[in-house]
Amino acid sequence: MEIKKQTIALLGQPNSGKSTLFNALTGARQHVGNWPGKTVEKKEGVFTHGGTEYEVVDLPGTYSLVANSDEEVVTRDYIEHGNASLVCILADASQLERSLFMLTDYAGIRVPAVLLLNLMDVAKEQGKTIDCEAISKRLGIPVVPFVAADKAYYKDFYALLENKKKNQWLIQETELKHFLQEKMGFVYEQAVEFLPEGGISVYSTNWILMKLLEKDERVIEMVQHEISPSRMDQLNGICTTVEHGSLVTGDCKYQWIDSLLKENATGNKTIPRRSGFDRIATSKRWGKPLAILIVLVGLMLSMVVAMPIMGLGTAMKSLSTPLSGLLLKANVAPLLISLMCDGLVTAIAFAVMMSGFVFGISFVFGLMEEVGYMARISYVFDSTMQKLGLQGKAIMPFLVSFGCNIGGGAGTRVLDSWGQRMLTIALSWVVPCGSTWAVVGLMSTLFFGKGAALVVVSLFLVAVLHMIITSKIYGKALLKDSDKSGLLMELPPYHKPKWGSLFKYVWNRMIDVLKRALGLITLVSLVFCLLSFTPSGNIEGSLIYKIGCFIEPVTMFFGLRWQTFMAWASSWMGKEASLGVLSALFRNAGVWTGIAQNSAVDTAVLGSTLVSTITKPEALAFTYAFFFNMPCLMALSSAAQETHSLKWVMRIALYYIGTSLVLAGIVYHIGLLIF
Amino acid sequence: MLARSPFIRKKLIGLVQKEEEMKLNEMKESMMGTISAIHGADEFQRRITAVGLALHNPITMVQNDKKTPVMLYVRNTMLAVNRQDCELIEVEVMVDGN
Repeated sequence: MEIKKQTIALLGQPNSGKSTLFNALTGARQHVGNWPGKTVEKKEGVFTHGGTEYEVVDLPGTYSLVANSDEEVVTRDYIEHGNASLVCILADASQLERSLFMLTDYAGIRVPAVLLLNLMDVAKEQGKTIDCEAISKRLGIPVVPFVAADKAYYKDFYALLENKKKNQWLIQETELKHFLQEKMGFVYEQAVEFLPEGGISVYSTNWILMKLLEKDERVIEMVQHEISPSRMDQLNGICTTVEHGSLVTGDCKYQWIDSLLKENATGNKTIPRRSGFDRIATSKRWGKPLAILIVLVGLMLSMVVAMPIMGLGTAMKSLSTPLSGLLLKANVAPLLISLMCDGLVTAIAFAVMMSGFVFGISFVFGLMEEVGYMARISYVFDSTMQKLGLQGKAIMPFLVSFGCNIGGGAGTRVLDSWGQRMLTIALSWVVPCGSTWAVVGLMSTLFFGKGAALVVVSLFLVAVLHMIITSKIYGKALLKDSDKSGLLMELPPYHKPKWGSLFKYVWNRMIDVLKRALGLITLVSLVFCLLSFTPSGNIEGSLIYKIGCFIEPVTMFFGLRWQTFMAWASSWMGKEASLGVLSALFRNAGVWTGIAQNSAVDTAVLGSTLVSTITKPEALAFTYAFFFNMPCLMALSSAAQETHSLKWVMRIALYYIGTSLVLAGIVYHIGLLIF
Repeated sequence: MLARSPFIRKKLIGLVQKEEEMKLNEMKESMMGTISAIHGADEFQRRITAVGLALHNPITMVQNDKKTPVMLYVRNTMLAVNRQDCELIEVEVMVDGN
């Protein structure tokens, strides 16, 4: 039997539950890419129901359908081209008065649609009742009470998909039209006469007129193609008589929402009482200290959550010795044994440990988002972030980066525009991840004793300066005027977490990172392993030694001997790799031995070797180079995935590499004068 | 004696209340009002309308501390809005006439 295929699209404002529905429908059968020619994420997935295969497209979460941003352009284009046979519009049932705006903006688009009133359980808890049938009659499309996180509600959703009449589900826009006619008076009829009677493409005349009043440039272009220039001029003349068109149409849309809900929705409309916690969490004085405290506890907790998976990664490394013993007995070539046991096993162990890190971080910060606290942190840090040209929502990636820069990249998803996301990533790379401290702590206490605190303070001061300069350099290039808009954000009510969807999200993130890490790290590991392979085990026979000696005259300008330079470079694999490399190189073992055995580094032995080999200025230079180096390759990969721009990620990574060496050079030469 | 009753007090205040125009960022905590004008570029007007800050919409000021975004309640939603942007929004507020 041939399987039928259909495409459905999910449309809704941010926080309307689109992603929960998308994940529940498609599970693991989803693909994330980007829209052609745009840096906007495209999420597609597949599921089968009743013998039909449905392709689901999760359209970007936007507040309206005006072509302001790339996200909105993509959404409109997709619907306009008729790619979806049904558009599922999601609205938050607990905030219908506001969230129905997307539906009113859609009215007039002649692509079949249904309205899903999500978070119906929250609305009920708030004492609200909604007469879905009555609203459905007025709109002319099915209106379904829904809870995206509860499978029990999916029966009705699937029934909609099976309905044979679904291509007739077009929103009746007559009521909205009346409101606009009332506002515009006779001008309405005058304007409509200039437009094609049946509308253009999938858009009705009324919809087009509204968008012309809202000065939507793409709609203006579309109409220009349809009517003569002189008629266009006349139409423009009529539209300009309506002052502040978008305010007029907005008013009409909200009037329509009010009239729809007036008799069909009841419930408490007073402001919910704010809890004492919320008052402290948003307080000017206590909001920030509380946020820092909670984030610190969160970071510690994330390590606890990550521990079992990271332990598994560490345990995997111990497989290397018995495996090499077995291979030796089987007379396998030494190079292959080295690649297999040192390279492959270590790479897999590394990837598992990283995904454990991401699991912990995603869980804790995902939970903070889920319960509604993250928005409060953004609120209290807005003025701080503005100093960097960003808005409060950008704080989360910075905080997450203190744990792990990979998680920081993913945290930029909440930001409004691509420019803001890219700039946030560019700046958050200055934030040292958890693994940085093992090396910085060792170097600063070893070489500077009581002055270690001074070194750390100087690192933080330079980090702040770095951020300010970087925001100036990249702010201009990355932020368009439209990206510089101030904070405009919902503060959702606090609610209990939906554990099921949270775990699904965390699990998906971990698997995603694990998959990418396995590929990327294995590749890098094998290259590194080949470069450092010596049949005798003595480093002097390896390629990396020869390269190191060759470039040392140059690296010494930055205060880095070839060993410290290699340790600096190896932190691209993961910051934790550097300690092992330092240890290995200073006892003349191979670079790879260091990476493979980083957990077994004897810091006391390493410490005495370092102190007797390198000078204080060199130690300072290495600490700076290491601290300000670009983050690990997985963080780069995660940033490229979030921003869909490998070009920009590479550009900023090179900038970090350059800056870290320049800073190392500066402190080295200052150090030579002081010590 | 009568004036001590909350009900009567409310009625008395109601008699001397008057409407006053002010910018959104000038509203004090718990003040209620209706949006009467939105200035700024078209793009700003479209953006702010889509989240519920539209003409004639009733709003309540929840928190208005200097140097932090304004927190307000509109259409069943708690919103945080940038302070500078609030200067572009005018509100008609009922205030005590005394």
